[in-house]
Parts: sequence; structure tokens; C-alpha cells
Amino acid sequence: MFNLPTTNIGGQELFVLEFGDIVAYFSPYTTALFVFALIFTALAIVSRPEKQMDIAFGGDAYYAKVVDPELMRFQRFMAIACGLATLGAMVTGDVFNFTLFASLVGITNIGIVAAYRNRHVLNAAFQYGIVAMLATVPLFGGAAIVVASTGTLSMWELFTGAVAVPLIAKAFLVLGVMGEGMAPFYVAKAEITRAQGAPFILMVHVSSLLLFLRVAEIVISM
Amino acid sequence: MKKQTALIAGLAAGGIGVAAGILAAAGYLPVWAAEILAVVTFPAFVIFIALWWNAKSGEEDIPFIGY
Amino acid sequence: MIEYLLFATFIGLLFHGIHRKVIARVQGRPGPPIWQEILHTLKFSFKETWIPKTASQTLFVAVVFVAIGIWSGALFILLSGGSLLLLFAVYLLHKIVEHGMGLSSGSPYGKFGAIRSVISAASELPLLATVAVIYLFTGSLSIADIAAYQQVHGPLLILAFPAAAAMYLVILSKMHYGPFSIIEAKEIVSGNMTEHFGVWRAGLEVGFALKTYVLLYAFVLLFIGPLPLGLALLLMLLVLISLSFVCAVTPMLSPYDTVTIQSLVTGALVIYIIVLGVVMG
Repeated sequence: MFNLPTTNIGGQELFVLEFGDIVAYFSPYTTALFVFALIFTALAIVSRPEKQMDIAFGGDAYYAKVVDPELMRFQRFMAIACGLATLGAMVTGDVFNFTLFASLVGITNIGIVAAYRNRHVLNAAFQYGIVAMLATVPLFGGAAIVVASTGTLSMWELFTGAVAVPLIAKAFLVLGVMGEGMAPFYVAKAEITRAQGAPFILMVHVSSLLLFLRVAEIVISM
Repeated sequence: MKKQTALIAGLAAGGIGVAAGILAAAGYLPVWAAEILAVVTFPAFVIFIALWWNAKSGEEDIPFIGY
Repeated sequence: MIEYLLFATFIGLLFHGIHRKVIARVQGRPGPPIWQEILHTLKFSFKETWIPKTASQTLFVAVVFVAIGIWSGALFILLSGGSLLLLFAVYLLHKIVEHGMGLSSGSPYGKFGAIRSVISAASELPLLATVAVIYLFTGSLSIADIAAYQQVHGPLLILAFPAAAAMYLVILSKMHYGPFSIIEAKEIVSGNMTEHFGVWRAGLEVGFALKTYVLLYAFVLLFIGPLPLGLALLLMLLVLISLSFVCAVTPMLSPYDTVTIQSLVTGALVIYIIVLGVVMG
């Protein structure tokens, strides 16, 4: 019944999962991304944060930071939520669903970073929050343009040659994902990675890179 | 890690990887399945074999630590 | 399967050794023997190994497994003619490995390396542009289709030279001792690898050897076409030696300069894509 129209991009579909009219699909590409998100979600669940060592500038002194269990629990919760949202975004077969998962990733990413009480980190998290909120406009706008111009949000329809998706919708989707994931922000706001909790901070990175990879597939296929 | 545990884990991983390759070549296992098995077992093989040969056997001399 | 992985590991390590040798000769030094990196990896695997007390233990060990795993997977994707997008994904996932490696130790040097690795996220953009150009030409992202296209139309190295140049820059940005290898710069000890010693370091060397093999092989396969293994290895060696020359004569750039150069190359490639889109309709 289901035949993925774009086998030359991510490979043939191996397995589909129907949720009403939303049909998630596992092609070699999306499965690989899914498995990778699963590995790092599992790591966020089982590993404990590192104990950061800091150098006091101007001397040989260094000091160890303590791990606050309350903070760790919150970060872990946010990291797992972020992992689940990423898992969803990797396999969903619906553009609006994808944008929802992407915005959820954005929210949980802010949560992971903003849990840490350090002025620089909180500043970076605040600015990132503004960008993530702004990015929801092109993100959902892109999905809205897709449905307005083609009448469907299902990737199974959009990926066929018969449906032409306007370039602006694709550009909006990419722009939205770049804002929701932190990818471009890494360059400007590296302070984010000062926050403690390596497995959780890493989840920020994992989710945004995987989102970017998925949106690349969607945009090329459409 | 105990020397024996590391050796068993390393050999098991290597054995599964080699067996998957042979089975795929003989046509008993799809090639993609053998490739996935190789990808999963190869890191374990490398790490555990290395852990095996640097693990202490418990019979070393006690290092000289001064008078 | 696993025997090919071992073969690729040894060739990759040998390539690393040749890389060091060529750099040394260009700079007028005798340099280490070319099998030095193989000995190096074996040496690390015999060293006493433990996990630092400050590290996030599970993650500290897991990244080593992931580093070897993703590049073994990438090798099989290349050999079986899978999706080029998947190869691109592995390249991006390598960034997560670098990042996790540095962060998991808790050491300030490792963390500086990790932060530099996120700063150099721009090194992925030329690769994405390369993927886009190849898609424009061949209409497919399956590596098998791309190889078939080149047998009909001639190598993409000539047809799409800017894309090949961008891919060359991508490989260069992952070479040791190169202008873009800011994450392992000596002013931050060994960057994100500082705290991974003993067996963990040996595992990482194996992963990086596979990475070098896969990237060079991908360059030959994507831009010159499918060749017999011996000829492909020879071409890979030639590409590697040219990269070594670049590494030998260029100083390491400052972190933000690497971002600027990689972004500029991406920009140039985007202009090329737009021009191509107009010309080819």
C-alpha cells in the first residue's frame, strides 16, 4: 500500500507505522538517525554528569565544581524529553508533526541549558530562547505554506513528483529548524557548553544535528 | 576489568563478527544484517582485545617505590 | 566484513604515518617512519588504562565505541553504494563524538577542545553544498547511482570541479596537523583527546584511521568513479600527499578564521549552485 516515492535519497522504506493519517516511516536513512538518537537518549538516562575542573586564571590553582543532584535530575528529565522529541522528528511522515517535534526540541534544549545557574550560561540561554521563539514563525509558517499551496501535509504525497512545493516553504522550514536546533548558535554562543552535565549538554547537540539532517532529507525530497 | 572477562568479551565479539561475514558469504544471512553485526561487534572487539592484553595478571613485581 | 575493517584500519593508520612523514620532509625534518602510527596505536593499547575520577564514566567510554562504530558503518555505506546523505550524517555524527569526548572528561582542556569543535561546525556546510551539487548533476543521492552516472558522463571531478574542491576542504579540515585542526591544538594540550589515554586512545586512533580511509575513499569514489581497489588506493595516496603538502606549509588558523574560510567556501559554492540552477534549468 505504501511506497516511498523517493528511494534514491534515503533508500526504500523498511517499515511503516500508521497513526491514523500520519504514517511514520523507517527508511535506511531515518532508521540510522533514529538509532543514533536512541543511543544518546539511553546514554543520557544511564550516565552521571562529569565533575568539571576549572582553572583559576593567573596561577596554577584549579577547583572542582560540585554536582547538584536537584539540577542533575531536572537536566536529565529535559534531556530525555529532548531525546523523545528527536526520536519522533526522525521518523514522522507528516510535515506539521515534524515542525511540532522541532519546536519541542527547541523548548527542551532551553530547559537543559537554563537549568545551570551561571550568569554566562543563563545569558546565552536567554538569547537562545529568543532565537528559538522567533524561529517558530518561519517553522510553522513553512508548514502553513506547504498545506496552503498543496493541500496536504503528508510526506507520502509531497514527495511524489506530481506535487510542487514552493521554494519559500522549503527555505522557511530550513530556517526554522536552524533556529530551533542550536546549530548556528554554537558559533556565536559557545558559553552554552560551559554548563555542567556532559551527557545532557551533548543531547542539545545531538538533537539539533539530527533535526538538521532530517530537514535536509525532507527538503531535498519535496 | 578482569583479564579473563575482557578476553571472553573480545573473542565473542570477534567471533560473532567473523561468523556473520562467513554466513553472509555463504548466503545464510542477508548482507545488510552481517554489516550491522560487524559494525556493532567491531568496536567491542577492538576495545576488549586491547583491554585484555593490558590487564594485569596479578603476578607482576611490586614496583620499587623508594626506601 | 570484519577483515575489511581491519584492512581499512591498517591502511588508515599507514596513511596517518605517511602524512606525518611527508609533512616532516616538506619542513626539512627526517620525520618518523611511516608505520609509526600503527606502533603508536599498539603502544597506547598496552598502556595502563582507567577512567578519570572526574569523568562522566559511561559517556567517556561510550564515545570510543561510537567513534569506531559510526566510521565502520560509513565504510559499509560506501562499499554497498548506500545513500550519500547517510555518509553526510556520519560526518555530522563525528562532530558529536568529538564534542562528547571533550565534555565527558571534566578536564578544562578537553572542554576547550569540545567548545572549539562546536565552533567549527561550519566545516559541515561545504559538505552539504557538495551533496547538493552532486544531486543537481546526477539526480540521485545513492552512491551506486552516482558511480553509474560517472561511467556514462565522465568523472565529476571535471564536471563539478568546485564541488570537488569543497569536498577537499572538508577532508582537509579533518586531517591532523592541518590548518583547521584547532580542536587538537597544542596550546590546549591535546584538545578533546587530552583525557583519553591507554586503550581509549587506541580505540580512538582506530576510529580516526577508519575515518581517514572512508573520507579519502569517498572522494575517489564520488569524483573519479568506481575503480579497482589497487588503483583506488593509489589515488587516495596521491590525494593524501597533496593534503600533507597543504598541512605542512600552512599555519594553524585561529578558531574564528576557520569558520570564516569555511563559510566563504560554502558561500562560493552556493553561488555556483545558483548559477548551475539557472544554466541547467
